Amino acid sequence: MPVDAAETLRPRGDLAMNERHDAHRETYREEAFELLSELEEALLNLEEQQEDVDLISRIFRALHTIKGSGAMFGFDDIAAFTHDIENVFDMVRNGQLCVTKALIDLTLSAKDHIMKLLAASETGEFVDDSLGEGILESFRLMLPAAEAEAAPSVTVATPPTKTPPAASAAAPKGSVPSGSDVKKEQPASALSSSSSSINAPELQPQSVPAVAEGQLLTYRIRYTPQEDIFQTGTNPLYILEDIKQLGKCFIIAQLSGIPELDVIDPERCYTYWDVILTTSRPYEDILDIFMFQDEQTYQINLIDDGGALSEDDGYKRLGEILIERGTVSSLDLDQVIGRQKRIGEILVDSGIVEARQVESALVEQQHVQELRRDRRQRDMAQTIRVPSDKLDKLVDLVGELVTVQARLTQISTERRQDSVIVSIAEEVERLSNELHDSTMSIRMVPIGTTFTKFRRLVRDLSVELGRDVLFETIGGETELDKTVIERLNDPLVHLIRNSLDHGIEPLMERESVGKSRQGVIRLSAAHVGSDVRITITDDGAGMDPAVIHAKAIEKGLVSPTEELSEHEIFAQIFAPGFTTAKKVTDVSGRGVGMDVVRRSIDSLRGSIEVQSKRGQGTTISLKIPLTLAIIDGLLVRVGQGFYVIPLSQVEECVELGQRQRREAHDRHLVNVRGTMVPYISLRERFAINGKRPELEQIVILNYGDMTVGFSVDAVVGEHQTVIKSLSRVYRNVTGISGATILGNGTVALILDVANIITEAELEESESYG
Amino acid sequence: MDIRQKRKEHALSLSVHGPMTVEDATELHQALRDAVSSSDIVVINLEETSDIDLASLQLLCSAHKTALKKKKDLRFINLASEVRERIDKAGYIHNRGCLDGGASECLWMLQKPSGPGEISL
Repeated sequence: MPVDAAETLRPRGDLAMNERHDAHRETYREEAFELLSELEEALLNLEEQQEDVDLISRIFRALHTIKGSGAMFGFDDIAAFTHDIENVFDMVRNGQLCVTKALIDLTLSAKDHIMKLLAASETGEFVDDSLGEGILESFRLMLPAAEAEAAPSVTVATPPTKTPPAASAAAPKGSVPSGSDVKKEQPASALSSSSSSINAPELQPQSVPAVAEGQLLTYRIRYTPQEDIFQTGTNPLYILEDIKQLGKCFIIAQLSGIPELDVIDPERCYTYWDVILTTSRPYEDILDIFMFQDEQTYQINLIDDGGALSEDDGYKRLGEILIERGTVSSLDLDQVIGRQKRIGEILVDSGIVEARQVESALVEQQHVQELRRDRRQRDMAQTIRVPSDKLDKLVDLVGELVTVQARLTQISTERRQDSVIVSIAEEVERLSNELHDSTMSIRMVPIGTTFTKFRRLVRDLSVELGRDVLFETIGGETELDKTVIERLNDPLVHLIRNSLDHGIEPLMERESVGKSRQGVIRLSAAHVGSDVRITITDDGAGMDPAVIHAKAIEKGLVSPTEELSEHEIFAQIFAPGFTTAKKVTDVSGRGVGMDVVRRSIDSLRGSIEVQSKRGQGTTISLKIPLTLAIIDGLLVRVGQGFYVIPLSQVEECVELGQRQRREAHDRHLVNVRGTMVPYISLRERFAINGKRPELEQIVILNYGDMTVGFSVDAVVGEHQTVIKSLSRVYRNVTGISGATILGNGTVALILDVANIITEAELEESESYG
Repeated sequence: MDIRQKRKEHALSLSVHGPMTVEDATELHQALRDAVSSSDIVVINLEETSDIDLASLQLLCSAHKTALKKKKDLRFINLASEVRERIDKAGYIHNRGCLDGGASECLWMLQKPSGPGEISL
């Protein structure tokens, strides 16, 4: 049966369900990729700060979510793979295992493997399981070793039961009665009228994991003061007040131990308390409250870790809480659970549990559920996922709106006597500017997300090349358009690899020239006007201009007799095939890198510059526009045609009259305050018919460290340009990077400044042979 | 602390003046024992009570349990707001009582059942 027919025969519900399932899987993939990125960053940071509990928590959380959500959406291989790794990090956060470089290395490898599994889930590509098995085996080796050498985890004391004298004499001094002893006695004392003991059920001891400062955590505190506490002058109610100071708290006194009047000793304490405390204060602050209390009179258990683990809707069930507290056995619970009544009621009716004890457990359950619900709502409110294509569509629409708004503004200028039109046009201009800014800002992403990837690159490459490198990043919060960042990734990777491979010297060599063994590579980003400046600086060997010059001559890029400035010499490294590397490594040296980098930056309408000092280091500077979609442009006219020059490259405009042309002997040079600036005639370049006007305008541009002019017939003015791509028909046309629609509906072409200048230079050098 | 008694047939009113603290616990204990053993209805008037500590709360709880066991009626009246606050802070006031005497008859419950064991707010 053909597949199509099979599809149509399936119930519609099935198809809808499959679509939903696929959508969920896609969502999981997106989230997992983000989590893996965060995981890597945290691991790299942890390598430098091995005691940082916040980082350990983050790593554990990421692994836990990847595993849990993976299992939920059918990514069983990922869930299974992550399971053991999560266990290892659970031990780390409980202080049972130390962070070591080996652990970090292994976890980074595991992260890479999960990435592969994730990618393969989409492409169907085969992934070799043996690598994953090898990683897991190494993790498993850590588990038994850790248990053998485990430091005691943090457990707090359990209060002993206050037994009648006969029983306590039998128990060895200082021992804690076993759980079974407690359970046997507790119901008896609850019903008995003659017992004078408080039998606080023993809470099951629990490790309190290391948690980050400032995080809201919820504890269950069981406080059972000693019976003779009144004689010591201590008031247990003050302890409760101190606990209340730490945060939101529910206090439930358990009174079952209070005997009748004939038995009670008025100067003894028979009350114990269950307290549910939610606080951001450190665990030690809670301990301090009990500083002067016997360790066996209090027990503190962490019952909610502030969202550290991904949680489903509910907290523990009532029965679970009561079992955990030792109030009821699982056997009793199971017996009762078969009936229809609510658990709490049944347990109370059965006489197994006091109503207050049930209430205390319910309070805990309700409180923690509320906390978790609030947390979920807060998290949901902060961000929302939007598919990229929807955002692109929005940007397009905004672009068209800007175009129409420009037309409206033009019309209102022509009809300025009509105040209604003028006012509406102004309002529309204001709103569309705001909408434009808002939409652009949605696409803006901090470049720090890219920087983080490079840390891993530098780390791995340093090891591979035997270098010791400190990698610093500055300005990670600098925002760029998402597309620009994506397109910057490859060029930056190449530049960093170059720094590591050709720049930073091996350890011994650095020492021999009096440098520190550790080299530095610094990556920085900052907004400068409407651009972003990105620099990669290293304190390595720097570039030798003489060597580069020689190589350029060897490759025929420059003539032996030509005199070049240092800047012009360094610019040769961007030529295709240029490399001074004596050998090709896996990392670099093939000479296919820098020209590709240059072209990538050019395609972003950016520029790249090199500065270097031999023996001291190299700085590569990139200048990139913030966004690709809309630019501020200078609208110019040549003949009947209109053109847009990116305003960021425009320095000034000067006039060029016939007299000046004569003085320059018709060479394309213009005197700008004593400096002769070369210019390119756009009329000639684009072979535009018609007479050259007597008075032309020269738009002076900066290109790298060059100053070049474009001669045009007239400068119309500044124009916010929504860039439209040219169709495939024009893909071989040089000098034009796109088009835009003017307010009157005319099309203006956007000039590719770099391309025009480069071509002109090439033609000139060819014409001079 | 000063405890004043007023008897009317089988009912006894105990009016407590001053703070109820552990120093006077023995006296309070005795007064409650005598009251519960000698009367079918015991009303404890706390209008003049300025403060109450844990020892006294325990005694009141104990007295109520004893009264329930003996099928007698013991209740508070005229609780000052400061005293109510103190009882609340001690975690005594809640929705449910303890097992003794059945949850609905607890002295410290927030709801007011129609039977004995009311706290008057």
